[in-house]
Amino acid sequence: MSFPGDVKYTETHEWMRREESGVTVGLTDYAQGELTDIVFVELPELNRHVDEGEEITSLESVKAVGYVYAPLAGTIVAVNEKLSKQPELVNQDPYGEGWIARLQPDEPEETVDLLDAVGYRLKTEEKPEEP
Amino acid sequence: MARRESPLAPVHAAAGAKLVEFAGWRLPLQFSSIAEETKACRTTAALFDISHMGVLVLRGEDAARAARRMLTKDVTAIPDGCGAYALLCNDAGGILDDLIVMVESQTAVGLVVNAVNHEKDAAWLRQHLGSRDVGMDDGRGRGFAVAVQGPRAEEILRAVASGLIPEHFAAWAHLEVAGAKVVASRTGYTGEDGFELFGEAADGPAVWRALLDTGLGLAPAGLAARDVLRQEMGYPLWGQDLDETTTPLDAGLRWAVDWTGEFVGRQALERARPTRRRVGFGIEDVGVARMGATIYRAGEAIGRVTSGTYSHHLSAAIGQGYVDLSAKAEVGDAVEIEVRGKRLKARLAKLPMLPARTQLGWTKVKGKTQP
Repeated sequence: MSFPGDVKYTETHEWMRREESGVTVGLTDYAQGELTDIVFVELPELNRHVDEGEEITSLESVKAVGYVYAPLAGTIVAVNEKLSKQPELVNQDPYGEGWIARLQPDEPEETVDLLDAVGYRLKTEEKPEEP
Repeated sequence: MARRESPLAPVHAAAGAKLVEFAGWRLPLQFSSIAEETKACRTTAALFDISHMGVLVLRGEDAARAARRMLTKDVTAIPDGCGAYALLCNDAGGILDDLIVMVESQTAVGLVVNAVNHEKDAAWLRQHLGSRDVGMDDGRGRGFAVAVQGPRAEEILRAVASGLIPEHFAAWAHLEVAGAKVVASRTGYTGEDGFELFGEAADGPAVWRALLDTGLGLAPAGLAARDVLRQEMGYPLWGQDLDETTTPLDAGLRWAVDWTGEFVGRQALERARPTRRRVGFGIEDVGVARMGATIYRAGEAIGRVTSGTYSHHLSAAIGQGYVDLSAKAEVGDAVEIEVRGKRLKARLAKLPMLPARTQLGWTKVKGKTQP
């Protein structure tokens, strides 16, 4: 399982990477593994404004449905259209070819309180309490 | 419920399998991907850990007769070394469990039951066997079980087993695999030819490795792939597609009922007037319908989804559910299934969605007719 250091992580298993063209958002490697084979990605709506924590889109896997939430408030300026034909890219390359949407943040300089790779890895390793 | 580890847990950990909690057991969900594992099963062979399955053995002079009184199948008519799919019903004809019954002799009858119902079944049987001449042995926690399923299953088993391999579907035999004694039943939950092997817990890892080491295209596969494979075949899963309020008539399992003798639930089933039936469906829109989704036809709710998934083999979301008989719905009917507020276009489909490739059953071979 990979936890790249060049992205920030949310508690809800998204990653975000700041780039010149905006903030790229995807689903973490851990999350794609939990979902199992992703078979449908509903493409996010272009130019839609989302608040922090608002649902951007949903993904269907063989086992379950998963949701992608906005790590910060902004406007969806790009979507990964490849995912409509190749949803498995989210499984195969979650931090690269499997990116989901790009946001133009409302406040580009805003720092959001997200997890780094170490913090996120620790979170995924938390074991549920034994009954 | 205490969590149970499969005797194969160390092997799965070493293989990096993704584990999941199921019916109180920790079992492999996935080894590579569901797409690859299901493909292996349909084209070469897949190996599943099914150690969670419960094994109950009835012993005593009256064992087969007692089993007949409890099950929908005429156990007394099953030849030694053969088995059958059967239902355990309550007095109302509701399905307490679906299981495989394996007859060693009229005095020793094995039942392979669902993990989720293991304790309930054992308690029900103890309470209802009603004969001092029949004892029940509960194999809980003592055994391992694996399934080898796929077109190359026989070739793979032959490479590691000594003994006479059962030829027909639902026949079984004692074999030796990797120096371990196993019971090999020509059954499965995938629609492919294959075997389910049952043995002592301590022998599990050696048997698992010996099978994989044959190098004959056997791929380890998890519960997620197994669930897709069984849905492609329209096999019901107890707890989703079957429950205690569902009768064999509702579920389209009349073929698993022998009306040749008395059994618990028979009187209720004779009087029963089914109001719904089990059908398959394929989704023609983008989306997957899962348990609980409502099925509509021409705007009217006619049924409910009980299982749903996505089949890479069929390149479609598929599933099964129940529709009201009063709706007179037919296979091929266009329907809509509501998923998160959206109605997806779907079509009712015949089950199974793929032809079974299992061997001919012993019933056909020995000149007996399947009622």
